[in-house]
Amino acid sequence: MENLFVNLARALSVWLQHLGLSPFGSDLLLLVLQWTAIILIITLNVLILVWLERKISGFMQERLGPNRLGPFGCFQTIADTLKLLTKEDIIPSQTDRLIFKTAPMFFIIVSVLLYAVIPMGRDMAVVDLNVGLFYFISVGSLTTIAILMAGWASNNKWSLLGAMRSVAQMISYEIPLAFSLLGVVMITGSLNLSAIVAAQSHIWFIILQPVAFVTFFIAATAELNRGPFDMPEAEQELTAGAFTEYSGMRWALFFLAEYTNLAAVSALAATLFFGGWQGPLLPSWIWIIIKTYLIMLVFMWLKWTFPRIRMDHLMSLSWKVLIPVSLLNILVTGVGIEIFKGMRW
Amino acid sequence: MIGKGLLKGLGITAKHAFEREITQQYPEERPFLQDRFRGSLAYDYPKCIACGLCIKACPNNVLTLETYKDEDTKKKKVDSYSIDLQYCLFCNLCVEICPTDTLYFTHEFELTTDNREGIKKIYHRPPELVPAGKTAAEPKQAEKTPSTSETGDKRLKQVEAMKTALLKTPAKILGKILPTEEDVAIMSELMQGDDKILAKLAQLMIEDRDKAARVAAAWVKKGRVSGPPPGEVAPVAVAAQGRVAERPSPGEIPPAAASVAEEEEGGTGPPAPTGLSEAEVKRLKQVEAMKTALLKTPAKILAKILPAEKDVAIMSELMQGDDKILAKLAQLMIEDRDKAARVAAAWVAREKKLHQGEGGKTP
Repeated sequence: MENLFVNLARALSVWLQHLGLSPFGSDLLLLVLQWTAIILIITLNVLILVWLERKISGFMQERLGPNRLGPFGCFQTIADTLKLLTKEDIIPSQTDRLIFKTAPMFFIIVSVLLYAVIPMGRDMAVVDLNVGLFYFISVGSLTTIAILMAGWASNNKWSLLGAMRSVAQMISYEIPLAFSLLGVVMITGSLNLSAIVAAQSHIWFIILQPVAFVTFFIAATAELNRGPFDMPEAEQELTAGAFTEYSGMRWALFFLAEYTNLAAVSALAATLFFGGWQGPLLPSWIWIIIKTYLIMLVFMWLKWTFPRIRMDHLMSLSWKVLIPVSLLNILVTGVGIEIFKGMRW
Repeated sequence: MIGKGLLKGLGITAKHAFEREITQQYPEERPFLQDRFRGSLAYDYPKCIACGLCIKACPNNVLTLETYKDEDTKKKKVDSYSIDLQYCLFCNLCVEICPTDTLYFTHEFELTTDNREGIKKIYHRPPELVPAGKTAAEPKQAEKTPSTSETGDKRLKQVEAMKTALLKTPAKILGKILPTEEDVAIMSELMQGDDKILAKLAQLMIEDRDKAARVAAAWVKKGRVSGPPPGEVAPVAVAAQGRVAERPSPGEIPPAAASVAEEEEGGTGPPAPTGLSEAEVKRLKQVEAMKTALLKTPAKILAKILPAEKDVAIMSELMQGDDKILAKLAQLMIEDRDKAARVAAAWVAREKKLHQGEGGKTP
């Protein structure tokens, strides 16, 4: 069980080479297969997540949530997806058509790209990059461009306002997000996510870096445009922010991408602070799923508890609180590491 | 501590997540309604005394009342009563002011209809109270408000149940009102031979047991002398009962009525649900006919029950002067001629006395 997927991939690769494919060709084919698997997992994951979010928000508000379709309403999202797929594809006449069409695709592609470096189990990263963490943060920040594209192309005041807010928010929160992760990198001495997981075999970094975790979590919530930092969408103010003019499957792609991002960031949090795929008894790929889902539950819990923060409060929280705190954390971590080294020697 | 409020908020949502949902899956789960819940406004026909207070109390003119004058009692009675629920604001004023608890709120709250007419509730005078000549309420509206008078129905049901019981276990029931077994045997024979006697006895048993005993005793006496009277034949009774049995039992048999009926018949047999019996209608018709006859040829008929010609004259005058007396007399003539004679004699005697007191002045 432990090496189920790894062995499967290896066997497949051997079989492909046996068929007469060059090593490069078999690797390429395997990569295509891996990406297909990831996209399938993401889609399935989103189906579950949307259902879960609706169910949890229902429970928190003492409602039942979806409960009509299938046991506990678990087929509700499937029905919703079918509905979105069959909807008319509306593109408003005054939009910048090319950008309007590419924005959702760009968004979803960027979101899927995040999964390239996340180790989904022992030796189960699609690409085990040396600069995995750096890659994750830089690719993750690209989502802002997608939102800006959508907002600009829509030629709609709400959309543009939502997009501008999104840009402001992303820029502000990208800094504490990256700074809070530096503590972990300093301890591990590597940007490779597999190496970071391996470094947590004795102790999880949540214990060594609690402040970093808190700042990371807050910044990540803002990065994900989730409540209480969902200013770019802010239904009550901006209808749907940058996504106002989108409908049907194009809108669904944004939706899909947001949940994909949520899962990716949660998986990253699990990898960096909760020992990644490490865990007793169960196979590694089950452990990462469990941890990711628990973190996503916390994200949902936050969203359905806190009211939305005002835009200026949002900015001042980032610049006046999170950035100083994360900088201080780097300082303390650095000093701590030096003291630790000095004690050992 | 910074973030204390945030943690508190998280605690609250977490707590609520594990509490019982307050969602009610409405069509499947029905809401619990308090006793005082004001659903549809309903009206209990037999209780209404046609005072019109509810109409005065209503701020929205929801209620309308149409009355008629009861020929027998000279009282105002309800012909039809309608509640136009679309204007009702459920303020309870009419229910509060009603002196006889005729109006009440039910727990029925699904009042939506697809047309304006459907929301109007109309209660008509039950058909047994409509004089024989007149037609009953329009069938269309009558359908909307089936079985409005519960008490009237109740009584009839009880009588009907008693009838069945009397036919089934005559000895047991008659034993209660007749002294000897021989009497019981004669009475049961009489009863089985004559549907009219059976109906009368059943009615009396329900209404007034002492009277029933007296009447039964009289019948037995008469039966001993002249043998069973050639009354209505049994097939009529059977037919009537067959009709009764065919009738779909009305959904809302008041439990009280059922229990009373069972008590009366000593727990034998189920209460026979029924509406207006044929015998009852027949009797009403007979009474009507008797009234006409009394007015037409008073001397002829009154001579049968009054001894002297002078008495007959006084009685016929009385009768013509007072509708109530006429009705009463006609009824008694049909039901119990002996009693009619007694009552008539009493009336005449009283009249004579009055005239003596006033020095022979005629009213």
